[in-house]
Parts: sequence; structure tokens; C-alpha cells
Amino acid sequence: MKLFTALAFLISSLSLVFLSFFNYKIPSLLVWFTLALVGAVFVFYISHKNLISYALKRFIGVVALLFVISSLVFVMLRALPGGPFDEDRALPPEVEKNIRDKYSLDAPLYQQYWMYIKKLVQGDMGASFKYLEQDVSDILGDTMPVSVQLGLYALILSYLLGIPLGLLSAVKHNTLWDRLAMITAISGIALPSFLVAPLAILFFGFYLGWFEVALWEGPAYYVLPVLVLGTRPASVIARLTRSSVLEVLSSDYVRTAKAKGLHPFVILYKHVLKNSFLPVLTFSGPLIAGLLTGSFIIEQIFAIPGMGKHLILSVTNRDYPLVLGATLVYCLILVLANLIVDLLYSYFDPRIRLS
Amino acid sequence: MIQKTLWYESWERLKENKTALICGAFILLNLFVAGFAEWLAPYPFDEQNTDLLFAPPSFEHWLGTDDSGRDVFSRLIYGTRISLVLGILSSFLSLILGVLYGSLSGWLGGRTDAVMMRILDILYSIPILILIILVKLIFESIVDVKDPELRAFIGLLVALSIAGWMNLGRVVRGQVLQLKTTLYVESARALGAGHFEILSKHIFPNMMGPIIVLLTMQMPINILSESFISFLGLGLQPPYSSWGILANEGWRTLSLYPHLMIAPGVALFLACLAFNLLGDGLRDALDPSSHQ
Repeated sequence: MKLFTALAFLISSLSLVFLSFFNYKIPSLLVWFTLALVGAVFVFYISHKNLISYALKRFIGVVALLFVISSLVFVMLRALPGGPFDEDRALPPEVEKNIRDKYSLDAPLYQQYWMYIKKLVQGDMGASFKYLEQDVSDILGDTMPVSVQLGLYALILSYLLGIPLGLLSAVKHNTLWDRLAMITAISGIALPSFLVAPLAILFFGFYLGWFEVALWEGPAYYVLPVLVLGTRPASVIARLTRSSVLEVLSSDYVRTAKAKGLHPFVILYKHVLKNSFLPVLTFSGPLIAGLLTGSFIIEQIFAIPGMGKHLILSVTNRDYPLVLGATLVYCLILVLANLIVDLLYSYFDPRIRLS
Repeated sequence: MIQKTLWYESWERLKENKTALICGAFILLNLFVAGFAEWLAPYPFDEQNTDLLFAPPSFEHWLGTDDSGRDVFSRLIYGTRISLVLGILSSFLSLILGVLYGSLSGWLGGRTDAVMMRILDILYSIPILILIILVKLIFESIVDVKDPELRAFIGLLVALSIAGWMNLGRVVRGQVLQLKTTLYVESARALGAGHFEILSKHIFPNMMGPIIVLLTMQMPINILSESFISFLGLGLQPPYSSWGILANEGWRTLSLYPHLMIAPGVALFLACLAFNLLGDGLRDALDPSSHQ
């Protein structure tokens, strides 16, 4: 119970912070933040006194991390040569001066930094330099749902494929099945998406004509990109599962369970699966963040309007606010995913305490 | 009785693993192709033949020609050179960084260790492609080299090394933390050995196995990263050639000339597969107790 209350609290308060990035105009970030914190601390104090310090620590850690990341990326961005308004065709000097004034690009760097942080704390990620008249939060808010959807399907696919595959090859260790499964998995890791994607498009899209090969408008459009995006994580998960299941299978308690005459399925289900899930869990944090924030290459190849594009193009466009916004969103998702992973750790292995 | 060293025993185990041997041979072949590209390639990588645009595969041009009439097979051979050199060199640089950072962190321990690991956590939280592109662009601009392609090459090399370094650092730290508590390190310390002596004489030799495996596993990752960056058009520019650049060029005409994209993809796939399988074989050979 404790775990789930903690989970609910942390996720809800972090998603409040998260949401406020996308409609910052009404409630400012700080208000949400304080409200969530005060409310949660109160609820916690009544229910689980020992978890308060853990939750607080995590919360402060997250805020500190976001601050450090945004500062670091800010500095790195400004170290780049070139600016956001270096077009092929030079702007008239007056126009350029006006634009630079509007975004105070000529102010000293520390002032620009201070202004950015001040706005960020209020939940305002600023306006894009490239897509003029659009706020970063709007751009990300428009494109992120697509990426999250694609990533979520790919994530589910990779667990559904990876875990059974790893399990199969561990149970049938050193047989033909094991070899086949592992060759599939290692090929999946080595396959670059820009080889799988064209092959899938040519075969399933053009030759068989089963699925759509571009855009993102319905289940027929989802199949190919999800398959291509899920290949690699599924393979990694299969390999992780295999090695950890093999380890668990050779443990004493499994031998005892076998000696008791338990049915192999019961052993697998009750003793092996849960205990061998930890490595997959560790891998899941970064995986979730990577998948949900979109893959530029897949989005490019399948013409999907996701946010992976902004993650990359914003850097080449020197669209400073958009880079920072996309990075922060990635960070938040990563932090959230890692948090869930940490909490799930103590579910899968009760010896691990939250601290 | 002849005493067999650990390395010799590992080599004997590796010799029995046919898959790993074949993969090793394939990698050597790749390296050979990369090293002698000038002799092996039938045409220079940038020789254009405007009479032969998008020629289909033929006896003169094994993989046909591209949009400027350049021989794709020759470009693939030259591409092997840039892809492999960038991937392998950056893995070694990653390794040096990772070993220095990880062993320092693990050896010093305590608060220093905690701070150093926090720094790694922070770097981990930057999307990897953004990190690579940022570092590449920054280094490209600060390196004092005239030739723009060489600048891009150095920028990419540094960026790939920095992107791959964190994982290695973390693993090395774990190894050092573990080896630090062994009896032989304790006795060395009791005998008055200095920090440097213990690290170089007692800890590093015992880490070599995992490090070699990690290094082998890092190479396909860096080769893939390079090709992704080049595929996005952010790496070296044509007429230079790497597998990613070729894939990018092929991508534009995929529905008409799919072989232009599939050929570099297959080369990349085979190389990464070989590195991964060799890495697996090395792990089995160096650490027979592992189940990986």
C-alpha cells in the first residue's frame, strides 16, 4: 500500500509540474509546485511518516537536476558558432536588429540566462526562434502526443516480444531454440533503423501493400513504425531477460522448488519471473524516456509529426528555447520513469529499501 | 607442468567458439578493406561520371552509380574506412576517459565518488543525440584546423567519445569498488604500495577482461551513432563517404533505387553483428562463469 501511495503522490505532483509547462498562462509553475508539495506532505504525514523524507529528497533532486541541465545546455548552446537568424539570405540589418532586440540576444549572457530561468520557473519556456509566433510549449504540446503514442506502443511491443523470447531461450538453454532466439536478438541489436525501415516499407508497404508507410493517422499507419522502433529494445530486453533468468534458474531456491516437484510453469511464474526482472527494470528508465520523446530517424522515414524532429533540428537551427524545452521534457520523462523504476524495485525485490 | 596463463586459457576457450572466430575474421577483413581502400576500390570515391547517373548494378559498377554518377561500390569501400575509424578510435577514447574517471571515482570513494557519480547522472539526462550534436558542433568550431572536413571529423570523434564514455566509466567504477576490497589489494597496501602502484599493478590487470569486452561492445554502438549522425546529414559531408552518408544519399531515392540504401545498411549491420558476437565470445572466454 505504502508503495502505491508513494507512487501516486510522486507521479501526480511531478505531472502537475509537467502539465504546467503546457498551459503556463493560468497557474504558474511555482503555485502548482507548492500546492502539490504542501498537499502531499500533509497526506504523507498522516499516513507514512518515514516516506516523507524520501519523497522530499527525490523532489528536491528532480528540481536541482532540471536546473543544472537547463543551465548546462544553455551554456553549451551559446558556445555554438552561428546564431538563430543566420539564414542563407541575409536579413536586412534593421530587421535583424529588431529581432535580436526582441529576444534580447545582444544582452550580456548572464542577463539572458537569468531572464530564461526566471521565466522557466513560472512555467514559461519562451517562444521559438524558428517557428516565429509559436511558443515552445505549444510546439511540444502539439507534437509530443504523437511521439508518446508511438513510443508507448513500441515499449509495450518490446516487453511483449523481448521477455518471452528471453525466457524461451533461457529455459531451452543450449538448444536450437536458444540459438535461434539469441541470433534474432543480437541481429535486432545490430540492425540500424535505417535498414529495417526501408526494407519494411518496401516489403510490407509497397510489395504486399498491407500497411501505410507514411503519416500517423490510424492503426494501419502505426504498425510499421512501431515494429521498427520496437526491434532494438525488444532485442536488448530479450538478452537481459535470458541472462538473468539463467542466473535465477541456477539458484538454490529454484533447485528446491524443482525438488519439491513443482510444475515447471509454477516455478517460472512464481520463482523465476519476478526475480529475474530487475535488470530489465533498470534498463526501462532510459528506454521509456528515449522512446516517448520520439526518434528523429523513424519520424523522418515514416513522415510522422512527432517531437523527435525538434530534438535534433532545433540544435541545427540554433533555436535555443526549443532545444532547452525539448531537453527539459526529455529530462522530466526520464526522471519520472526512473522514479517509477525505483519504486518498482522495492516491489520486485523487497530487500531494496527506498532511501 | 607447463603453467598456462589466464590469457592463454581464455584464448583456448575463444578458439573453440567458431562464431566468435568467424566474426573476428570478418572484422579483420573489414579493417583490411578500410586500410587498403585505395587499392581495393575500382574508382575514386569522388569521381563523377555524368553520363552514368543511377546506373543499375553491372560488371563495371558492382552496385551501380549514384545521383552524380559516382561508383557506389567504391564509395562503400571508402565508407568502411571512415565508419570504422570513427567507431573504433572513439571507442578507445571513450575507454581512456571512462577508465580514468571510473577508477578515480571508485578508488577515492566516499564523497568524491558520490559527486562524480552525480555528474554522470546529469550527463545521462541529456538526450544522447543532442549531446553528440552539441559537442560535435562545439569542437568543430574550436579546433584549429583549416580543412573543414577534418574539423568535422575531429568534432565527430570527440562527440562520439564523449557520448560513449559514461557507461564505461560507470562499469569501471563498479569494478574498482569491487577489487578494492580484495585481499591482494589489501596486502599490497599493507606492504606500503602507493595509490598509483596498486591501481596500475593490481587493479587494472584484473579489470582487463571486462574492459576488453566492454570495448568490443562499445564499438558497434559508436559505429551506429556515427551512421545515425551522418544519416541526419550532421556528420561528414559528401563527396566523403561513410555508411551513414551513403544511407542518407540512398534514402532520397528509396522507392526507385532501394539498393543504394540497403547496401550501406547491410554493411553496417554485418559489422555491428560481428562486433557484438565477438564481444559475446570474448566475454564467455574471459569469464566462463558468466551466463550472458
